Amino acid sequence: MFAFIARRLGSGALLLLVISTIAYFLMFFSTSNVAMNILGEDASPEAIIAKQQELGLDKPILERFWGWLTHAVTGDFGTSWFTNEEIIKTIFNRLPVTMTLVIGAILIAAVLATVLGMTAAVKGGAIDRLVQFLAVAGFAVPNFVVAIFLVTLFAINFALLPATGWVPIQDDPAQWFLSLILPTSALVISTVASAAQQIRSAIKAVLEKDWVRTLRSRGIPQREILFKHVLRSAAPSGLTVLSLQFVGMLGGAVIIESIFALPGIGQLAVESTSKGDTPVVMGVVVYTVVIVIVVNLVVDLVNGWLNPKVRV
Amino acid sequence: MKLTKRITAAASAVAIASMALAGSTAAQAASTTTLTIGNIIDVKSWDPSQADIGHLAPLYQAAYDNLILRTPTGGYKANLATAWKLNSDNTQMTLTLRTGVKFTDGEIFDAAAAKANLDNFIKGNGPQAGTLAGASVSVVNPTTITITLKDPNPELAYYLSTTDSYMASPKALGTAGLKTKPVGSGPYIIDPSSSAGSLEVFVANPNYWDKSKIKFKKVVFKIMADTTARLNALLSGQIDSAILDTKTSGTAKKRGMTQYLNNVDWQGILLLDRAGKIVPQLKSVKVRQAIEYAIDRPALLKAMQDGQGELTNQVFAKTSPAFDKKLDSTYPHDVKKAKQLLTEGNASGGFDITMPAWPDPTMNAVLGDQLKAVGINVNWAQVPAADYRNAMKSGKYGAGIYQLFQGTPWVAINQMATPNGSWNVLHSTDPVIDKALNSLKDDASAKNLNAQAKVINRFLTENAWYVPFYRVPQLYFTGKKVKTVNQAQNAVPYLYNYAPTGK
Repeated sequence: MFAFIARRLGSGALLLLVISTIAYFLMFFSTSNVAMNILGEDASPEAIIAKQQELGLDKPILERFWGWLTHAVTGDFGTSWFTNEEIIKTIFNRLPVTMTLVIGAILIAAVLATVLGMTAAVKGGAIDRLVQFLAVAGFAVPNFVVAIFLVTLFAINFALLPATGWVPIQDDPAQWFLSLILPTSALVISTVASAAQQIRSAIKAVLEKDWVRTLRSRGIPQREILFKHVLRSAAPSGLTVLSLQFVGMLGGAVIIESIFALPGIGQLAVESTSKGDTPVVMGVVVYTVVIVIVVNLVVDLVNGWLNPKVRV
Repeated sequence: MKLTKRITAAASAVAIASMALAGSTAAQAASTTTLTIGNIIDVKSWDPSQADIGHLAPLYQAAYDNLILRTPTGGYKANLATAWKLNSDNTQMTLTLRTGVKFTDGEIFDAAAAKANLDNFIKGNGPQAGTLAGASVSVVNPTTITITLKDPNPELAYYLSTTDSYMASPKALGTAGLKTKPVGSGPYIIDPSSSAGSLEVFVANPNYWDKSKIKFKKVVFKIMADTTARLNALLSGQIDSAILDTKTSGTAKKRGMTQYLNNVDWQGILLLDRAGKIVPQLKSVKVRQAIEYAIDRPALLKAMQDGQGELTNQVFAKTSPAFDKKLDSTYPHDVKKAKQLLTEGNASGGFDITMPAWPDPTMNAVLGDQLKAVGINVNWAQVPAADYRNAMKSGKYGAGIYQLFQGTPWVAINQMATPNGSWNVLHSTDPVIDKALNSLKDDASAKNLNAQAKVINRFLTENAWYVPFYRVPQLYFTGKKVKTVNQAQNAVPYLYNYAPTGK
């Protein structure tokens, strides 16, 4: 087990280095004249040159990258070129917003998708068709459309929930909870759609196995077969799809963050990339890759616990 | 209990709890003691040397006082400076300073503090540092300073009422902390609950010297880049005011929000290459005028701004002393005339021109078709939206679409007409412009400034240096609890312009 974890962490570190390097050079080639973006359109050429020197943009790209890398490995990501705020502080202010949203959405989606997928697989017939229809419909409707619909209905027309914003849990737990309902719901709907389909297929496949028929012939109750045996066997494919959804949500949450004005990591990534704020973009890239690596590792460990064959 | 029943029970409990909590949402909505503004951007740095105009002005105004206060109509009032006088050649201003003012850290505002701030601005290499480039500041006595300029500037009061004179505590100047936390003498003090990039919270300064400027106990800026988010927040009462656009303004009006229309910018083509070095045909004034006649401005306004905005042929604002109503009918849409002018300008049949593609493809499609109709074929060079301004300023393009601020006469002249004007990218000159600028060097009185601005406006229009389509409507909205007043030459109202409606 330790060798397995060490191997995964080793490959994760390599992945982090490769992605960080690519991201740094992509930022270099896709951004022009950051100094002018900072100083504005009326800045004089002399002011722009001075700003470039201040930011070290007059140095060769390899020297700049090496400087960033040697600081980054010590946990020093520097400060934003635009806001002067420490990158670590910026990310730790924003990360809880996105993680709360994404983790909340994935947990709710996991429960709903399991219930829907299992019901469809077990009951079949009209319920199966209905679940499949709802799943396809949920998948087809973009989450920003769902978001706008939910805001119009629950925030503007009925004034039940806040239309935008984020309240830290330590400030007001009740408002924190309320501020999460609409954005989480918008994220959950499309996630449930695809996960329910996968879980339904996985459970259906397991239900057709000979050993399930054997269990039934022994008179073991249906509920025990479903929850103790079938669900465990079908779990790896469900977990895999949910982990992929989780990773997708980290990037996709930006639209929901934008509509609900949530100060999350997605918005930060988009704003910083469009401005050319390389230190912030690199901080976001590193943290996002680390999260993805950790999530994949956890999913692999859980899969290994559920099915020892995958540990080999 | 069966699983389904348990799930139903749990879901019901969550729903009931949510409904109960939701009852408190209304209480969270903006109240008249709190002004909540949905702002599209946050400050990059609280160091006053990095201040900028437009959407950032109300943020800086919460924390800092200017030396001079700008009224909504563009006039000037005493603030930290109680009197000021510009010398006859507009190169030196003497300011008398208010006494008894303290910064929130206890430091005293006096001539030394004012000098320290102005020096910080001049050396700070911020976005507007060029407006005081080469200036020096001297302390005459504890309540008097003199600003000596490198070049004459008849509108120094304008700059001192916007970005150039936000006064921070001299103790905080130059410290790293000032970048992330303002220390001023302004009407409000930043609250620790602020979070850079998403929320700036200010509470009333209990020791403020002018209580009439404090109309709210608390001022909150919610940073909302997305227009839909701002609309939803405004309609649901989470914010009291925000700027919207032509796509969202209809909904806001239908829901009873109050609209404030302000035409601060103009949008059009900057014909940068008047010397014809990149696009030889543009050297001919006839060809440039042909482009003016080729533009169907009403169609563009309809396509781009849903018909809202004002058609124009001139780059100076309607409120500017340089404005000339007659100029707005210089170039009616006339394809036949455009073709004739192309022929007279030795570009019979048209020509090819490369322009950076405007971020909104509708503009490129409509404008491209209009120019194609007279034989001008536009090759749209794809540039990332974030780099558009840099592309326009790169000197690679002979022309391009842009949206420019309609400043005061002096600001507009320095932006568009002077050889090193910020948007005279290829440094065009002309004897008429030179003569007007020389006249201003000799006599930059308000009277002569307005007269020369009129000359320059007429020249720019008749010689088609720019092809303005329309003045872009800035659609600002407030909810029911707050009212405001438009601010001259600023995209959004100044902080001082807000007041509770009492509802």
